[in-house]
Amino acid sequence: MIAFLTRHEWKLLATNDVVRIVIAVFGAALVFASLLGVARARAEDTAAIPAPRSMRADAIANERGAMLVMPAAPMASLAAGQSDVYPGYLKVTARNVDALVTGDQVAHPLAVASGHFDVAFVILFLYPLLVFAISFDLTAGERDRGTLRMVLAQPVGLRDVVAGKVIARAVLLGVPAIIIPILAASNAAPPRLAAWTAAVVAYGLIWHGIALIVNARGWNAATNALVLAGIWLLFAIVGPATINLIIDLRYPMPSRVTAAVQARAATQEATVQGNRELGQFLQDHPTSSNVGREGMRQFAMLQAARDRQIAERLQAVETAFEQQLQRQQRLASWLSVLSPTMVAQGVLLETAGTGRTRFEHFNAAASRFQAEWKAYFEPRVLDAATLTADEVRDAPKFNYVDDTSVTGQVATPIAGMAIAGAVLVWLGFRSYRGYQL
Amino acid sequence: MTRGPAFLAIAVKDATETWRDGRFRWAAGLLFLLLVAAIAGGAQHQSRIAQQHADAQAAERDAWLDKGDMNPHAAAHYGAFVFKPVQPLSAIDPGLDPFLGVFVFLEAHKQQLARHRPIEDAAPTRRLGLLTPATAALVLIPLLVVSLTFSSFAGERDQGTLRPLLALGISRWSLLVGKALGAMLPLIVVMIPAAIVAAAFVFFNRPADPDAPIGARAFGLLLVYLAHALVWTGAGLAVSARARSQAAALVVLLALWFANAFVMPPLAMAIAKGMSPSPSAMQFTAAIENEKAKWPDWDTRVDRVMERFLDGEFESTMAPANVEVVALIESEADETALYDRHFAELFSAYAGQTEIYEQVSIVSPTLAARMLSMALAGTDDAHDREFAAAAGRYRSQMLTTLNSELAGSGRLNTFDYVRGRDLWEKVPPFDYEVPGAAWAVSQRLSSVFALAGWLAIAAVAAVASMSSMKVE
Amino acid sequence: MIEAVQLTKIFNGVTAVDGLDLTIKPGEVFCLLGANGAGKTTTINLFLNFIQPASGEARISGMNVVHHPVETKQRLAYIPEQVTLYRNLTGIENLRFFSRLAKADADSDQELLAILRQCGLTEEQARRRVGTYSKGMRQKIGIAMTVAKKAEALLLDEPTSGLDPKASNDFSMLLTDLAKRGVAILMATHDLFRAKETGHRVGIMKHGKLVDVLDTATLGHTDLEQIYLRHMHD
Repeated sequence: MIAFLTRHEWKLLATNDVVRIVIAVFGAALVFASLLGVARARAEDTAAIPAPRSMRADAIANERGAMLVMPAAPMASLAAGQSDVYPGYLKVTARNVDALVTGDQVAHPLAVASGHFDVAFVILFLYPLLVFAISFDLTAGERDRGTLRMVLAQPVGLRDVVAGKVIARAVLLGVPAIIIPILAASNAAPPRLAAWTAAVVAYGLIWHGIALIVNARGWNAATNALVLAGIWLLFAIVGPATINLIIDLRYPMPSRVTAAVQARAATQEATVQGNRELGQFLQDHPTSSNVGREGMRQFAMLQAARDRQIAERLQAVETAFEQQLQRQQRLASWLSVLSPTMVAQGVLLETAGTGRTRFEHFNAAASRFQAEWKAYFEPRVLDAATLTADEVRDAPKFNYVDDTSVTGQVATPIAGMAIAGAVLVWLGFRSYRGYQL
Repeated sequence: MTRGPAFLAIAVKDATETWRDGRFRWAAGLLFLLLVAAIAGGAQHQSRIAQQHADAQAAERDAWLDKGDMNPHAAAHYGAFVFKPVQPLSAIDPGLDPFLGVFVFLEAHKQQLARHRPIEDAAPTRRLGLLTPATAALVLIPLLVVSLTFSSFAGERDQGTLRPLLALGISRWSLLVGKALGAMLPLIVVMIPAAIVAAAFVFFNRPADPDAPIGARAFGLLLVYLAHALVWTGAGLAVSARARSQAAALVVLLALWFANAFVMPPLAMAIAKGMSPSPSAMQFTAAIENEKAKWPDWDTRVDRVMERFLDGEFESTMAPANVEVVALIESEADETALYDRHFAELFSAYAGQTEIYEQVSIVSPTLAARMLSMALAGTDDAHDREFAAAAGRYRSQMLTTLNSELAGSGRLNTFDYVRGRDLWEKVPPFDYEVPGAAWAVSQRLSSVFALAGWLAIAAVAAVASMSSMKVE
Repeated sequence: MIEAVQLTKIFNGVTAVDGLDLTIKPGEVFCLLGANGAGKTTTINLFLNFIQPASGEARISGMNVVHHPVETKQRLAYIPEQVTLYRNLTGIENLRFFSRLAKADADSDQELLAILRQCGLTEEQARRRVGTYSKGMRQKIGIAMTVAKKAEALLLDEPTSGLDPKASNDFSMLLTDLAKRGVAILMATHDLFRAKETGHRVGIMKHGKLVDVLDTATLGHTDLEQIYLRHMHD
């Protein structure tokens, strides 16, 4: 019976101009965002780094180092995410300081501020708005015109009728919301696609549930529209903006500026002391022609010793900073649970591979690789050796294996959204019990 | 009731109706609270950051002076931090501040972009936007304007009161003025106290640099927000006069609002990027590295200088010449030129994208107003490029001071040469003066014209809609 | 069969239907007269189970509507003052929708068209969107719904108000047809003439009570009006 009512509702919706416009806008936005996304994902290529000119161990291991490039995110075409905030590459050296050199992210700040017109944007903001646009008049219009009485004079329950209406609308928007992203990211791993799809479905469920609850209040269609517009504004726009303001004030991230000054102070003595010892040599321009191989060896040892001292002192400052940063981020992340849009955004970015987790995973892999790199090259650098072609070829190679645990990590928030959505839908149907004809 | 012009009677009636509507009072109250929260939050955040930067800059200067005796070139490697001064009006519109690095490290041989953009440390959810006074003024106030104007004519038509109203012999002109005033009065009730609170916060929460002239910039901001609100008032009245019903008017205005506030910024940027691509992070680095790779290595460079020395090139300028110092100074000059060129290219790519973005934003009054708001607050990319240029000039000034000391030392083994505080003091502290309001506006002339144009279009559309208004 | 047993409905302390006892046998047309607010529509709503009685029972074909909402609705049909249909669907599409809700046998175009023709609609009309229909045509769809679902009971709420005399007469004939097929019909109306013409019995309702029940066979037109007005003035 519900399937029949759903089909009937489709027939009605198909003749409705507003619904036709809504579907056209939604489809066009999804397709356009997908096309932009596919083009963006393709543009994220790598560039060739020059070959070493000198075969000195120091030149190979440190000056050139290893350029680790993060492969394009599995579903980069769906969500640009933080890919314009964190550069997708790292330079690894065999030294103690500047072991991992993060490059500059050169995305235009205005572009970062403007955000992306990507599929995630369409899903997060437009999708709920359009859910409301076709759901503000579930039963109010039919009740006011009288068709609802005609229908309920038949052997059918109000909740079946409402279920038919909700399902028809959910499918109408849900199908493009699910299908188009899958087409745009068809080469992504199935578990990621499944997680993405589940998140979209759960997110949609929440908004359909809210629409249902508002409709069950029995107001007229115009009031429903205003109330729903207000809820969308509050949950999707003002809520996240206000939560971000509270996070900024209540849990401010530790200051990078202060940390830079602290790092400077902590390493001042070691730097000055080390430089004085190194001063006998041409600190940054030692060549075998002016100091000889033995001199180069001594230079390398002194430099390594200085760097080790600096690194030790830096580590204390950096660890303190990182710990505080993580603490603040953890506290802040609790607040985002208040907005479904914030939760969904987190899940979509993580699933797409453009959230923070993948960058952290990549950095961790780079750190492990740095240890290998250092173990291989450090003795040769200290020996001021000149490397053979074989030695260079046998150097450790970096092979990034994508994080597969992400789908497990996002399972909890997806389940949370699904439960919240199911509860809202259930509450909506329950409040329809007292619906006055 | 005293007799007055008809438009006043209409305005008072509309304002009274609106004010008696509980929904309006809720919305206006909430908006006022949000505005005050945004202003208070912005001011607190801004003064905290400003204090951190001022403290850091002072500590950095002490560290520079107290770093002890060392070789001048080692001092160049020691480097200097330059912290970005925080603009007083960033409390109203932080603009691009969260997306720009907070300090530049100036050192020998290498040049970097400003580092540590606050967005890197924030959660990805931060990308969903921050409640700032500028967002409230440019996104939330238009929404309130929409809710105040969508029913102005369409509502009277739906109720059937438009026909009798027009039958009373009121000129359509005074009807329009009355409706506009009727919509603006309740809005002003929200905006004036908020503007006063904002002014109080900005003036009592002055950052480290109390001499920074902000009067003209603050006044400009107020004008921009007012003009933007007026554009939406005109648009709201025009749509209301022509729409089939008030529901249709509301839908059209909400769609316009959503497109202006949320769709236009990323769309304009997508167009700008498509038309004027900028390099990826990897490409940018690789371009510099590849060029450096073509240079002679250090030994060759020294050898070549030696050859030139033997040819007698330096006899008149440097005696006794130190070949390696000459090589060092020359390589430093090459590097500076290389980085300057690449940064200039990158910045001109940015500027090109901004220009296209600004041209696209002509179709959106909200985007034009946002560009102007950032410019006046001193937080747009043009201001950032000014700062970066100043930091670059300071870097070459610092390196020149240190290297020429090395060259002029007259020592054979210059790397043994050690200097102290007296030389460090010769490098002046970094002092950056933000350009004035006139400069800021001159960078965004097309946005000024766009906003002014929209104001004119909205006014004309509202007036024109009076004569073509549907009565039924 | 339509039955009410001590049927009582109270809204916020006001008794809208007060101990109503009524039995309408198959094939009988019972017309319910009464002023606005007398409780006619409330009575119909009680039979439809749109509202639930404070006490007493409303029965359709012997089943309590509260306990058997689905079964009773399968056996009853309802025609309100305005038969509101889906404007953007055609007459036949509307009929099919409601028939399927009622799980009626008739489903094919042929069967539905035959029913619609019976009820006085041409095929051309049946294939037009309902948005273009007159009120009389929509009422005919209401009758067609009754026929299609083979209802045993029909509830009508002022179905003829606003119809022109010709349409009103057509409608009465269709009702009489239905009654001959054994449908029990309860019609609330203001139209004394129509009540006398169509009804077998007429009940006069006041303050939720059935104050008089008359057999139309024994009444003249003027008699009914006089009795009705007398009750109203009491």
